[in-house]
Amino acid sequence: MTVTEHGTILLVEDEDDLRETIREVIMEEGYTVAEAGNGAEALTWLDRNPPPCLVLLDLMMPVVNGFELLERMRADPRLKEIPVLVISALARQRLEETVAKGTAVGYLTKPLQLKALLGAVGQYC
Amino acid sequence: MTERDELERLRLALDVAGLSTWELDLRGRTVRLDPRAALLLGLPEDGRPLAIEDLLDRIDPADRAELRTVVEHALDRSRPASFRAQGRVALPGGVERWLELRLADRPSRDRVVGTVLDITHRRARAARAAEEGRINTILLRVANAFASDLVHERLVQTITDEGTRLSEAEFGAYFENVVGPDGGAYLLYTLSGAPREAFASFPLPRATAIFAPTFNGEGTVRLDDVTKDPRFGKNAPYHGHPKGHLPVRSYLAVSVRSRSGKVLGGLFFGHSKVAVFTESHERLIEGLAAQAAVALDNSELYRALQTSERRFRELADAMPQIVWATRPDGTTDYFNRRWYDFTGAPPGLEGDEAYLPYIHPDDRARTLERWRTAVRTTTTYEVEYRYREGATGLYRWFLARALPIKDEQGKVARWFGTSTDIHEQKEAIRARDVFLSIASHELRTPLTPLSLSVQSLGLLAERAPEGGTVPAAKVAERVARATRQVEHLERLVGVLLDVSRLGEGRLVLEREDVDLTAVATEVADRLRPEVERGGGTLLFTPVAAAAAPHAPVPIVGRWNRVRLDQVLTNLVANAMKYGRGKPVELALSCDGVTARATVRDQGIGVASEDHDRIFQRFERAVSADHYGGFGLGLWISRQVVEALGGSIRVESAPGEGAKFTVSLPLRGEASPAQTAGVK
Repeated sequence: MTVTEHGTILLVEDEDDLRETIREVIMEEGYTVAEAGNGAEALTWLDRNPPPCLVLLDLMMPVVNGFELLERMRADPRLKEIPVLVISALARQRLEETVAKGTAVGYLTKPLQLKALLGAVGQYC
Repeated sequence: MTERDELERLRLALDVAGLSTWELDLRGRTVRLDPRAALLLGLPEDGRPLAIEDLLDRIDPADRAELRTVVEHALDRSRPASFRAQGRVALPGGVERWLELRLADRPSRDRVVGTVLDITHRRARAARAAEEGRINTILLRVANAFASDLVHERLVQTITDEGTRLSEAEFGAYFENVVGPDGGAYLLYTLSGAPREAFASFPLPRATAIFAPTFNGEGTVRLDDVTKDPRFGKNAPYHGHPKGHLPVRSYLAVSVRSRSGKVLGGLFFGHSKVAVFTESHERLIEGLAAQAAVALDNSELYRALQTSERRFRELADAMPQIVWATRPDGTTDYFNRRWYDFTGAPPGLEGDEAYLPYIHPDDRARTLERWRTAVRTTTTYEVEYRYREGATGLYRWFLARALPIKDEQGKVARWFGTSTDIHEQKEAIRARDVFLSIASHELRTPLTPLSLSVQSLGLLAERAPEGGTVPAAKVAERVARATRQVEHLERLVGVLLDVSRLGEGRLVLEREDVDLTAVATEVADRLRPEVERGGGTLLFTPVAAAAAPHAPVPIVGRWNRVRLDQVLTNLVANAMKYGRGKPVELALSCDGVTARATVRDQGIGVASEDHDRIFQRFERAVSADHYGGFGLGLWISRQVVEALGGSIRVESAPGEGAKFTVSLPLRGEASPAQTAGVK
């Protein structure tokens, strides 16, 4: 398993335990993972690094939440092509509305299915 | 023409005119009558002179004085000879005749001549006309009063007064047909022509033999002399006129019967002379009684209507709900006091314009549409809308319902509606929905890493070579993480249990000796790693002993250890959540009476207008899209602290962090409101 085969995944999640768990299971598959605790940290990272192959994004977060981050990315020509996969415990309806607005490529509902998560990651990276 | 011819012609003329002549001899003080005059006066027709007194004796004593004056004047030669007087003459067979005696001429010094004219018919006609005029006036007045007056007391007074006039009675009374406490009494009601005292000295008229036919509606009783009636005076204890009673001889009594046939009362008239009441009086009073019954029926309906209207208004005004009523076409014409109090609307408004301005603009079209549909289809109206409160300018939710009230023909007579303030319920439902969505999110949050950890353990096992092993370190790490999430879940479930307990007022705290310093130390040690993981620091400052600055002083009070831990954990966790990556301080102090724990962060802060709200259930100062959590931590903390007799407060401003202070009395008396919940 090598880490260079794949691109970098940006994981934006404020719950430390969840973020760490997701990072570990993804890294075990050989991906590189960058972490952000909220939307503001994610924007800083995006500003300073080459575009990731995928953003895994929680929605309900402090400072800048997931909805706001999606809006900012869409408004930024440099960021708007980056695929975003929403991971949230929110009701399906609200997730579908978010995806329908074209601001995300899809969503996974919490609690996550590990294989579905890995499948989605594999699709983009 | 001879003198004889002239006399004959004059006699003819007098015959045709029905005139007769008489003559006064001043010297002899005698009267001479022609035969016709003698006939009229009932005196001998022999042509002999009569003494003046003999003539005057024929005249009814009541009218005699007038004629005497006339004669006296005629005897006085210095006066002109033209006089006249009218008087009654009683003739055999009970006939009464009205005569007019004139003295018209003085043909010689000692003679005065004049005419005697029978004016009985003229007088009767005039009297009839006057009587008819009098009756017509009374009837007109009665009709007016009956048509315009609906007040019972005034009506019965009118009936009695006018009845007394119509019947030419001295006394009149209207007795209402009311069943008395003894089962047979009739209430003395209205009098005319006699003071109330005249009736006050004896019991109400009862159904004695004489009154019975009237109260039983058996017909009119008219007696020329009530004292001669066999029914009179049969009742103990008076046997006849009670002492001090009106001296009634002529008696007339008529029943007043309602349209339904029920006897409403009796009209009684009396006169101290006998045979005053005639058949015509009887008919007049019967007519009056019939009209009076209609007027009294109307008055009764009106009184019933007024009573029910007044009762409705009293009831409606006493209701906590808004009550309103409309005409059959849906035009609102009544609001109770609560409506005016709530909206601050000026009185006197009607129709949709009266209330629509107070309904939330977003709810107006829907409300109006529902209302019009209900009126059109005469079906129950039910709608929820927001009303603006006049005092605050804020809108509150109301549930409006209305029912059509139908008359006997099934036509809508009125709509009655209520509007009930359901704002609290609406808010509670909204808060519950919000809470449920947050709760499900919160419960799912630890489930995700738990589930992922377990799944990844499965994946590790799947990928392990046949009969091989999986790295123990990886397994241990994932099990540790899973265990942490299970603990997290346990805490959340505990919070939900607290909510249910507190909601039912069942928070029971076992008191024990608790060292606040020990509890705070434990909380600080437990949470410090998590604070540091987020990039922050946790500084714990216990009370230091003067002699040994590094040995913390115990602060012992009668509290509950688990709940105290929960409060401090909540406050530190909030500081971590809202001031992530920044320093958090936990400090203790004690003045010997009260122990204090303060938690200070450098987080986003709380605006002063939210300082009260954040301690309420399901409330949070910021959107749940940014910060998770039930919105229950501070509420539970306050409940616990208050149950321990203490208080909790916040000092904060946006962007400047927050400082929460918990004050607890060492002896730990509960505040009165919480006593019931404390063992």
